[in-house]
Amino acid sequence: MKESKLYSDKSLFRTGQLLNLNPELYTIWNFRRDILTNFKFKQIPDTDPLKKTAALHKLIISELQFVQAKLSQYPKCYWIWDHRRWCLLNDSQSDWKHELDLISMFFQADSRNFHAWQYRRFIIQCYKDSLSSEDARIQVDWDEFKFTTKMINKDISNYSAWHNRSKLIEKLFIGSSVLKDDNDVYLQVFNAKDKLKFLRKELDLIKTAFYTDPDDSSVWIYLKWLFGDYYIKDLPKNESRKLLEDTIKDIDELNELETEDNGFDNQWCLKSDLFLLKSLLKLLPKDDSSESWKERVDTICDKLIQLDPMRKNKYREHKLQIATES
Amino acid sequence: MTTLEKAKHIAYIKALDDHKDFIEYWMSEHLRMNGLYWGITALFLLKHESEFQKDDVIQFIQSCYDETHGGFGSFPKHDSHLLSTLSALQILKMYDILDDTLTSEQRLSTVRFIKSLQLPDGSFQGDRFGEVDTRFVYTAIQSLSILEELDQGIVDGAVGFILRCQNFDGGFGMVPGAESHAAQCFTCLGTLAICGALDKMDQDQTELLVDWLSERQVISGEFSGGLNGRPEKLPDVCYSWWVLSCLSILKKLDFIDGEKLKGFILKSQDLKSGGISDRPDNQVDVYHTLFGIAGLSLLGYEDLVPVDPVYCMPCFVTNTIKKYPY
Ligand SMILES: [Zn+2]
Repeated sequence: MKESKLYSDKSLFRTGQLLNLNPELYTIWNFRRDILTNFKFKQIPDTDPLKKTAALHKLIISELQFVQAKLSQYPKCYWIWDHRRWCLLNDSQSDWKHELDLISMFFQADSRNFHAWQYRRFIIQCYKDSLSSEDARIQVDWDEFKFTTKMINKDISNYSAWHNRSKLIEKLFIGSSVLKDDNDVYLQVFNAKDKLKFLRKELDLIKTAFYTDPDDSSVWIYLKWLFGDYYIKDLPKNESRKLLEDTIKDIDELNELETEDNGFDNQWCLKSDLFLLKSLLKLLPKDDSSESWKERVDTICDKLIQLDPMRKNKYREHKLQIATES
Repeated sequence: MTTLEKAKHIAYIKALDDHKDFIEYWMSEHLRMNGLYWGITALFLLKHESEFQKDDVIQFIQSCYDETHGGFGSFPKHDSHLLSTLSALQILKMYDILDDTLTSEQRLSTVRFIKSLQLPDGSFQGDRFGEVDTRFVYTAIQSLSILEELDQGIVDGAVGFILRCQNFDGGFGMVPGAESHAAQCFTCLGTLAICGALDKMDQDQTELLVDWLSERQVISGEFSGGLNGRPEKLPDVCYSWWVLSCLSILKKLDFIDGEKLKGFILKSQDLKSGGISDRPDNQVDVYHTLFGIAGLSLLGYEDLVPVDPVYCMPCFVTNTIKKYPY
């Protein structure tokens, strides 16, 4: 059928049967799209444009139902998600809100399904493209930002949510100051493009998160980003220094509690300290108090070599770096 | 410690091809070309490539050539796709029969097929239906590298696109905006390496990436020593390849514990019937069999053929590929 390019209802039905047996058959998905494009879409009479759009929409809706059934069975199959995207792009009346509801359903089953996250970003982009004003588009990003807060509050180890948050923050700092809302601090700092205030607010969230589960890596990885170039280069040096020192102090307090409870250091605290101390050393003038900080780096590396021997060579390299810099 | 059951793995791979009447075999049509590549590469690394009849292999690959679009499908009569095209070229290259097998017309059409899939933003779609993924950039770039057909326009576009896929944690995703994933780190670093553009990565970002990669080795739990693909996920043997190859490309293989990882891979073998699974006591498959063995090869396991971390083919094969810039 495929080779003879036989585009018919019967062929369409057959592709459905085959895909029910095996949704990985990409060639059959291709054939299905060819049948829809070259046969089903063309069956729609051209006379009335409004009626044509409606008929096409109806056709796509039934195709989406087929896709949804497949997705519930195979939520990690690339080709099915691809086909769903293709469907939506072929319909000028796609219902983006409905798609977001569908994604929420997938998140309930697996809040880190990266297909579902990727699909969410795609839907959001489509929705934004459908909006005519820039203000409205920024509002969408703001809503998505709030969605990540919600997901993180539900489960602080949802790394996919932390990731998405980092992307949205960059967008919100670029967007013009148009967000309207009540007294939300985040919103004010985005409007004012105030990275310092943002960091203070965000570090509060981080602190809650690392007290909730000190052994979860997600939040610690995210913390490093907050002290990367993206923020630090826009901050006055003394402010960066103060933030770094305060955060190191917070982490040390947590580590003391952890050590009391467990009898040994929390290695994520030490790893984060190591990163923050190195950032601090980059900021400090060479003379200053940097020698004592360097000693701390050295001690932390020694502890990590004991606590995390799988990565001992990494810590040895850090030690060497610090030693050769002085 | 258990050792690598070479003879059993060879027998397991060989037997795969003898089960043509099984339903599972038919169900894997969409992956047959990739499957053949996984099996043959594993045999090459075990120095037993002659277990497969070269002529049968050539005949199968020829039967998968897509006359309409150029390139290769995963199975006779299937549409060509970048994924199966790369596998076909890799197999031909490993057996050193690339030039004898492809007619000049086929070679030309295949190059045209691959090049035609590059989009204005430098990315590649997998086939004519427009799905973009860094996996496809890698498969296109490696294919063109094997054919020695890279040029500046293609390379610059691809490199630019890849760099836009790097995230806040230093890792890479499927597209700009997508979450970091170890397999995507491999496709992105591999692309940069083939394009001679590893130095285009920001220094701080590279450091974050190395850190992120080394943290993939899991400390606690029953799968201690194994590598996972994303934070807070279970280890899986295939990441022995995706993560390890990246660390090897970045010259930081010693930042994880190779002995512990060897232990995890060897524990995932089926000691009775051969083959390696994703983690101990699961069902084996040829995909995890290859990536387990390739991981061991990178770790310098005795008597395995050294594997090239960029191409996932034996080094003695990739040494014969002319490297870009030409
Ligand atoms: Zn796997």
